[in-house]
Amino acid sequence: MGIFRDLLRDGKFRVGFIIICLILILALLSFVSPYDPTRWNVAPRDLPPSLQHILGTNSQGQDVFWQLTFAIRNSLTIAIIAAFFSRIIAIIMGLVAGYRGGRLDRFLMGINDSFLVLPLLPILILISSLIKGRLSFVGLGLILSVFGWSWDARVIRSQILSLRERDFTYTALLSGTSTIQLVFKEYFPFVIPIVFSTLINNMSWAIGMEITLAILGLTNLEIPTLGTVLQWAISYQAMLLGLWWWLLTPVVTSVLLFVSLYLLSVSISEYLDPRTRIQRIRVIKE
Amino acid sequence: MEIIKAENLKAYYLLDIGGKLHSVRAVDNINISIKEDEIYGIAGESGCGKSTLIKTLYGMVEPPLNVVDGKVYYRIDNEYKNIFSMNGSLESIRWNYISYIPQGSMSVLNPVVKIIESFWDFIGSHVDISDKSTWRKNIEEHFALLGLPTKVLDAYPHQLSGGMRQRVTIALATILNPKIIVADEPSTALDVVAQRAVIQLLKEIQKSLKNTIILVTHDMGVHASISDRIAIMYAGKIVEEAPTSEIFENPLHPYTKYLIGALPKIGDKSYKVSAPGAPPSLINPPSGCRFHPRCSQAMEECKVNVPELINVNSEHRVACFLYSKEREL
Amino acid sequence: MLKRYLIPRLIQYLLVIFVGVTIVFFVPRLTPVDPVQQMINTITRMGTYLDPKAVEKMTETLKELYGLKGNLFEQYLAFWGRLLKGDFGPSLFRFPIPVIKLIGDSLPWTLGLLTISTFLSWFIGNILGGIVGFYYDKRWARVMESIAMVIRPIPYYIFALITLIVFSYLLKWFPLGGGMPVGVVPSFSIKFIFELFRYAFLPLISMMVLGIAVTLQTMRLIVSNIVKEDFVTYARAGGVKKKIIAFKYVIRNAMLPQVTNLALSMGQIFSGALITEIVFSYPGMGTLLYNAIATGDFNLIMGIATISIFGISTFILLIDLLYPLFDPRVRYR
Ligand SMILES: Nc1ncnc2c1ncn2[C@@H]1O[C@H](COP(=O)(O)OP(=O)(O)OP(=O)(O)O)[C@@H](O)[C@H]1O
Ligand code: SF4
Ligand SMILES: [Mg+2]
Repeated sequence: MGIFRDLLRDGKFRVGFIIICLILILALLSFVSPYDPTRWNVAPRDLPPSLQHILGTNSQGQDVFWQLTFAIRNSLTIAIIAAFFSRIIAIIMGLVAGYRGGRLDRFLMGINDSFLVLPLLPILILISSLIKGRLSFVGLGLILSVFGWSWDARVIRSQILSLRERDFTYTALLSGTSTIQLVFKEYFPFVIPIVFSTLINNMSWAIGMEITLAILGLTNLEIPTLGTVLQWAISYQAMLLGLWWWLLTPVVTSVLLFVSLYLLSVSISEYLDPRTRIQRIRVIKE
Repeated sequence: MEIIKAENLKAYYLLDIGGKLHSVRAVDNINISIKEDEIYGIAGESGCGKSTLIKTLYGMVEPPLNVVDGKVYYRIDNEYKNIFSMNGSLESIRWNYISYIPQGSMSVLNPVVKIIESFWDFIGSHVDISDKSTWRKNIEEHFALLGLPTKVLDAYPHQLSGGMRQRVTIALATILNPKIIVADEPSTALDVVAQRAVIQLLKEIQKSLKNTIILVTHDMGVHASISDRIAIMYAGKIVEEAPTSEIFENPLHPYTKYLIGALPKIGDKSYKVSAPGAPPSLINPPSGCRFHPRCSQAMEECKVNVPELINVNSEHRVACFLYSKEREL
Repeated sequence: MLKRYLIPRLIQYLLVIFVGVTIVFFVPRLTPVDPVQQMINTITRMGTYLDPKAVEKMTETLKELYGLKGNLFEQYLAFWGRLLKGDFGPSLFRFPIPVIKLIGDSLPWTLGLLTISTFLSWFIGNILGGIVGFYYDKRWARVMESIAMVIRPIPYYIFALITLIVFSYLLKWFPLGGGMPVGVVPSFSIKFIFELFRYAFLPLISMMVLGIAVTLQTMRLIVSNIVKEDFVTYARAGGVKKKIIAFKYVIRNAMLPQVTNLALSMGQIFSGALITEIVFSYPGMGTLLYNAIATGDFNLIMGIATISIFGISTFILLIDLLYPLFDPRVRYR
């Protein structure tokens, strides 16, 4: 709780936190939605925002607001799945490379850097174009996780490298602690904060990727996500038809979501960085 | 004639840690005056505020460091000017009038440009260097004078050894022949040979240019060989000040005695131990005489009152209740 | 220098290509779909004008290309052999034009868009970020950083879409898409170049604004550490002019890590360029990719993915090779 209070002192964190809370509330509202998100023509078509349909309705006869609540929920779920599994890969890669060192380290980091610089979009498109349409959103999350770990593995590795130099590694090794125990007991407390701060960035990346793939028609368009909602609006020419509420809703929501996630991640990583922690010791001018 | 004077100088690092205000009293009520054509040494253990003091004397006061009280005067054109009310013009007298050799000058040169470029930047900011070939000749002569090969000018900093870089920094700080040179541990990070060369260099510069050098080092051996006068600092305060020979032959303050005792003496193989314990935290220094927790001669009075720096003779000052009853108010 | 700097980079270069191509090779094998059958379906669905013989022949070619001949290792080697010859087979959508030809036609557009936007935004972003970092105690500097902070996390697609809506639909200042006016013959006339520029403007701007925001922010962070370096503090103590310190000391040094960062983010920038092209129907590889997806042209998708891998890693290698020019510490070791 102390950490949270410290973070709240940062304006960036406050703004990000408030927006993300609002977005989360929207996502939770999906559970009380009066509509089934996969059904069409449950409402009159193309209505502008009104009291009854606060964000209007779309050309498929769906309520834009309630559709949005499902979209946020699903997009966040994909992001969490992707971020969760990619963190597991990143932790394993980072721990092994950093702890074992030597040739294995160089090899793993070579692979790691390859994933880092490869143009992922064409490769992801290649994959999803093969399983087009059959992709459940869990599957999409898993695929994204296979490609989203390399940066964080690098960060974790360098943290392990610096921890290895510390005394407790030697003491622990001398006192007969097994490697596994050592890694989990001594290193994890230091790795967890990094994992958490990269988690948010990774979620943001996954949401962006989902939108991109959906726009290209490569995901299951039956499931409402921020990407598919946008894709429907575009393929129905919402802009040309003047149905701005339909197009703007996912655009504005995703911009808010990305900005708030980013603010949170910047604020948290500043908090975790010892250099900026010293900076936070506010300098008083006379 | 005094060229630089500090009066009741107090410079604190003001910090806000977790909402609480802390001040590190690194320079606490210091009065000194430094004469023309002398090497003024400042000695003391690590963390006692030596660097802070000479940064303040040099006028390089940036947050979190703040001058809370007192004044520093430079004599410019026979007039004493308080540097803290000079504002912008302080920049303009740098390098011409006063220059600075920082502590740990291993990485003080811009790593991506050649040495000569650093000279152009420093010189060009203070004098007109449109006649580059003459200036280049001047710089080369200056290098020759300091025993530095001129081809160093076309090298990058990382190509030079630590000792070489230190000497280049000294050359850079003396190129415009300033009246005052402030040097912070110029020889500390070097090996013994380079150390001697650097000290010798400073000595020669002073001899030929007749300027003032303020030399900070915790190494009493260096002070013995080069300083004319020495001030001993402890926990943000000057505790003793006297000409070098007087300090070594007749040290008064118990702390000075410890410092000198820590010197290996010829013929005496047993190193004398330094004062037990470590210098105190400057956030919360001990009451009374700040040295009292480590002083073997401490009296009741020492825990309560702060001894004032008083003259025991015209050249020798000390702040200790063993020699006077006067206290700081 | 050669051994310590060059060789690791060459090895990494080969490794990136190896990893990328291997992924491309194995992806069709790991998915439950048979790409060859899917492609045959795509083709036969598109028209009956193909006689069965041609289909059979193509099935053979495809099987060879996607390795249904020989064991896995042989298939893998054959795959490499074809790639190195630039043989990605025919496009299925525009049969029988070879994939490599289609890519070759759209490559210049992408290359133009990508290089101009990348270098300009890198340069502008670094200068701005350097200045913002150097004058961070000023209000305007913080305002600029806040703007960058809000723009930066927006994905390329969304940002391009917003740009398109605002400047093409609403303000109607720019064309809705394409690379040049319909029916105009390319020439070296001023008018044509102007038209090219008019069509490229929005995609360029949309990529550059994002690029500048990212570069500005990372640069600001690097600068905030560089200003605390000894050589900067010392230059200030020496009364060196502020402008010299800002550019020659701070920005010049902070740009070095930014060269490496550029190399590392090239893959992302390239992906962004593809997406931006799609939004503006700019006739480069992105739009080609989009058409390939829409028509199920698996050959073309694979060709684009492979060419991208080769292109990006070569680009990164080039940056790495140029790096010593900027950093004397690498040049003279
Ligand atoms: N930027 C800073 N912020 C807060 N405290 C500082 C800062 N710089 C120095 N101090 C504190 O001020 C005190 C004096 O530091 P100073 O560097 O002047 O000592 P010094 O005598 O030069 O030591 P050394 O021999 O190690 O160089 C120390 O306790 C130090 O911890
Ligand atoms: S004043 Fe007292 S405590 Fe301080 S040095 Fe003198 S005798 Fe020691
Ligand atoms: Mg010091």
